Amino acid sequence: MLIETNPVAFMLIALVGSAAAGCLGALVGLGGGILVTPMLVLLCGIDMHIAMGSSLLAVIATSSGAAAGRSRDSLSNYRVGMFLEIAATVGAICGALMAALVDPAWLQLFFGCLLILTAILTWRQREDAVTRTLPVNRLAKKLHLDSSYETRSGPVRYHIQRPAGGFGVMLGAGMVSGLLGIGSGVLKVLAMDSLMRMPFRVSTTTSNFMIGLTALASVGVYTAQGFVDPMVAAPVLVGIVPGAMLGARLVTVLHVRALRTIFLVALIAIAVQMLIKGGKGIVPS
Amino acid sequence: MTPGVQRFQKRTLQIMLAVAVGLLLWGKLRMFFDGVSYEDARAAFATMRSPSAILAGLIRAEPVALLCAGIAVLVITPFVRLVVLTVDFFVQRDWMYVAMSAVVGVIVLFSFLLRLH
Repeated sequence: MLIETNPVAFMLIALVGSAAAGCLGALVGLGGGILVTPMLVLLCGIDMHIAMGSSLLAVIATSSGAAAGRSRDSLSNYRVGMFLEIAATVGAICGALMAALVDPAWLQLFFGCLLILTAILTWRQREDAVTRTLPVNRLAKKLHLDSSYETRSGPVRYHIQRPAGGFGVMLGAGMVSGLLGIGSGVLKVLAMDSLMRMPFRVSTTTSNFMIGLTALASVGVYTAQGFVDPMVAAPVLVGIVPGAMLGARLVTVLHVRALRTIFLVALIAIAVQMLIKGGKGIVPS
Repeated sequence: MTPGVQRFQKRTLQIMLAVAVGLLLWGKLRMFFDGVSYEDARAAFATMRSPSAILAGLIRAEPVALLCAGIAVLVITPFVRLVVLTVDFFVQRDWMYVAMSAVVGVIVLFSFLLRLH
C-alpha cells in the first residue's frame, strides 16, 4: 500500500484527488464520494473495505458541506426525506452488514457495474417536469408529503405519487449504499424523480439531505467491522470539503454540460478499471 | 424549515466542519512532522476504542487522537441536522414527523450500538 511505502505521495494523491472528486461531483450533481473508492483502490492500493469506509465519511462531508454552503433552502422536502430515510437507514445497516461478508473482488465488480449505471442515469438526467397536474395520492396526502417550491413565476405546487413504491426502492438504495460505501444519491434521485414524480431540483436537494443520514447509519456498522481507518480517511476529508464547496460555486460559472460529458466518459473508464481489477481477483491469471 | 432554524443549522454545520477539518489537518501534520509511521498510527488507533480514550489522547494532542476526534465531529453533523429538523417539526406541532425523525434517530443510534457487541 502506498500509505506504508510512501506516505507523502499518498497524502498528496488523496488530498488532490479528493478535492477534484468533490469539485467534479458538485459540478455534475453527484456527491463525489463515488470517485473516492476507485481513487483509493486503483491509485493507492488501499483495501476495498477501508476505501469504502473512507468514501462513506466523504459522503457525510459533502452532504453536510452542501447544507453549510447553501444560502437558502426552499427546495428540500424534509417530510419526504424523513419518511424515506426510515427505509434507507434500515437498508443501509443491512447492506453494511452484508459488505463484511462479501469478497472485496466481488465488491469491486459490483462497484464497477454501479459506476456504469450511475453514468447512464446521470446522462439521462432531465430538467423539472411539471407535476402539478398529477392527481392527489391518498397516502401522500395522509403523510402531508405534497408541497411547493418557489420559482421566478411564483410558487409551483406538486403532488407526490407512489410513496409506498418510493419507500420500497429506498430500502434497496440504502442497501446499495451500505454494501458499496456510497451515498447512492443517483438511485435516490431516480426514485423520487421518476417514481414519485417529485420535481428534479427538489429531488436532488432532498437526496443531498438523505445521503448524509444513510451514510451515517452505514458508518456505525463499518466502524464496528474495523473498516474506518482515520489515517486513510483524513486527507480524503480535508480535500473533499473545500473541493465540494468550490464545485458548488463554479457550477454557475462553468459550461457544465460539456464538463458532464467528459466526467461521464471518465466514470466509465474508471468502471472498466474496477471491473478488470475485480475480475482478476475472482479469476487469478 | 423556518428561515431562523435554517440559519442556525447552516452556522452550526459551518463551525463543526471547520473544527473537523482543522483537527484532521492538525493530526495529519503532527503525524508527518513527528515521523509517525502508518504501522505506529494503526497501533495507536487500536487503543482508541472509546470516547474517553480519544478524549485523553486529544488532551495530549496525540496525532491519531486528533484524527479520531476530527472524524467524530464530522460524523455527528448529519445527526445534528436530524435533531434540528426534529425540533423544527416539534415547534410546528407536526407530531407524525417528530415520531418519524425519532425513529430514524433510533435506527442510526442502533447502528452505532452494534459496535458494542
